[in-house]
Amino acid sequence: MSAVERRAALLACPFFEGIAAEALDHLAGACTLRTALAGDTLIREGEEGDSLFVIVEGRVRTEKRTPSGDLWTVRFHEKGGVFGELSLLDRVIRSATIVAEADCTFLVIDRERFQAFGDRHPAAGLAVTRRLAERLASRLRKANEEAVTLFAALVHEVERRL
Amino acid sequence: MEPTPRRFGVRARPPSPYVRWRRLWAELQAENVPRLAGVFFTLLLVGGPVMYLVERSTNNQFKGVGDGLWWSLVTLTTIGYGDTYPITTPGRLLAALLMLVGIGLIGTVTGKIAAALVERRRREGRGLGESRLTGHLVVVGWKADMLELVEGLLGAQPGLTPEGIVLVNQAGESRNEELRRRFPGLGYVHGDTVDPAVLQRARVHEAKRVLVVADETGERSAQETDARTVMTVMNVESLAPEVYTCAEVLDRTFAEHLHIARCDEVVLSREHARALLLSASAATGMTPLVERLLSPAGGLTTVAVPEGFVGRPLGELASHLRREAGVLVIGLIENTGQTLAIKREALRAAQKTEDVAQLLDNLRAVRALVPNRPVLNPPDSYPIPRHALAVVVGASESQP
Repeated sequence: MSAVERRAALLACPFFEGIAAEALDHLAGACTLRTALAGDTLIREGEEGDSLFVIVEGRVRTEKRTPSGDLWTVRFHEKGGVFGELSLLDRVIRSATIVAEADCTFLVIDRERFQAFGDRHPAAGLAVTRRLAERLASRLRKANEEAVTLFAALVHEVERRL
Repeated sequence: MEPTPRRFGVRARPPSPYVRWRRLWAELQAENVPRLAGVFFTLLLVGGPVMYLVERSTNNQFKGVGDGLWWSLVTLTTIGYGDTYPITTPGRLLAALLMLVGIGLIGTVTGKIAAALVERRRREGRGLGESRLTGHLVVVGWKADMLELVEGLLGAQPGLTPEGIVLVNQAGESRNEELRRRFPGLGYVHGDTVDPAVLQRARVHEAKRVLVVADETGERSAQETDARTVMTVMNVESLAPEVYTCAEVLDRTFAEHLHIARCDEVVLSREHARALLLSASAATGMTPLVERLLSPAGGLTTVAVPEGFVGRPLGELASHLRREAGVLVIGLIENTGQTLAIKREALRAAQKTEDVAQLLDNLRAVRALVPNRPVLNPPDSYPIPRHALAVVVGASESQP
């Protein structure tokens, strides 16, 4: 895959929208190429992970297990989709399983390479890190809202039984 | 395709021979039979060799230990062939002892075994026995028209035989005996219907379904009768939460209690009768129609939703059944089947979301789930949920 194709793949991602093409060029250079066959499991729920995946070609399925043990499909990611992004910031336990729905091609970057890329190209690194921070902030906001919702529901539940 | 009417096929299974023998063994144990048998064999195995030792020097009938054992068996069982007999004084004393003990032992053991068998038959006749069935239908309570009720049960549920029904009531031996003569094999447990031990004897935990009728024994008010029904259902539900339970109440206020007690189906019999009288008094002319609809031979019934129609609009099923079976779909009954099982399934499905607000909504919906919820005449676009039955009016007998 040529450098141009790689950059094009990143440019096509909504996740990297608004980031300068030059920065994406540097990022694309730090990525490795990975392929998967339909049915391959790329990420397993509960395991530790350190890589971000960009779908260059194909389609993946996100699966989770309910506390009762049932497997269910959360969503699908298509070409241009990004998953596993928070693992670039810190060691994470994967919150879902990702299975390839079709034969797929990914651009993959792990935490170590991402940090090296940031050291070499600070401006580009900052742009991508900001995007990750935005993603993280929105997740945190959602988690906070959910905590409030749960809190209220719990109080309501006890109130009902007073 | 012919839609198959939903039938609550109760197929009771009698207990395995192994279970029967274990029960008899337990009864014999209670009568000390195994210990007496132990004494018998001890005497047999000790007495024989001792007799051989005592007699062998002077009596050539005892040539080995085997002869001694043979003699002690013949003597203890009071058979007394007389092919071998002691001739020495100590030998005769020993023989006298074994003979006297043998008569007592054999008599006691055979007597006790016979008594256990007779007692079991007697208890079953008087409703004091214990049901040994699984997958049966338990009818708790007594009604004046019990005969017609049992007859109706047998008629309405193909595959159900009198052996598959166990009655639990306090109506007494003579009235139940009459029923048992009419329906041979009908099970009967006598006792207070609110007593968990009595319900256990009817093996409600192994039953397929339990029907609790408004009991008419004793001079009780409607409220007392209903309160007892609620208590019975609570006991049944705690003994057998997985068993489908239906109950009859006289007073509507108790219906709510039954739902709280997790009764799967509640019948307000008195209210139905009153509604019919009111309707007749208003000269609506509905009585024959209602009678026709409720008759077991066609009329109002439910059919299982054929595979492939779940999730589809009701209109599609209605025209399918109209075309194929000539029946008219007037609605659905949702959340049918064993309530607890359906709620568990709904609870599992409710967890399949990432959104906490959605999860809470789902969980609330599970809690608000109404078993056997009727949905009458919904729009054709109404999607058929899982666990629903189609309510149909059967094909008319009179052709145009």
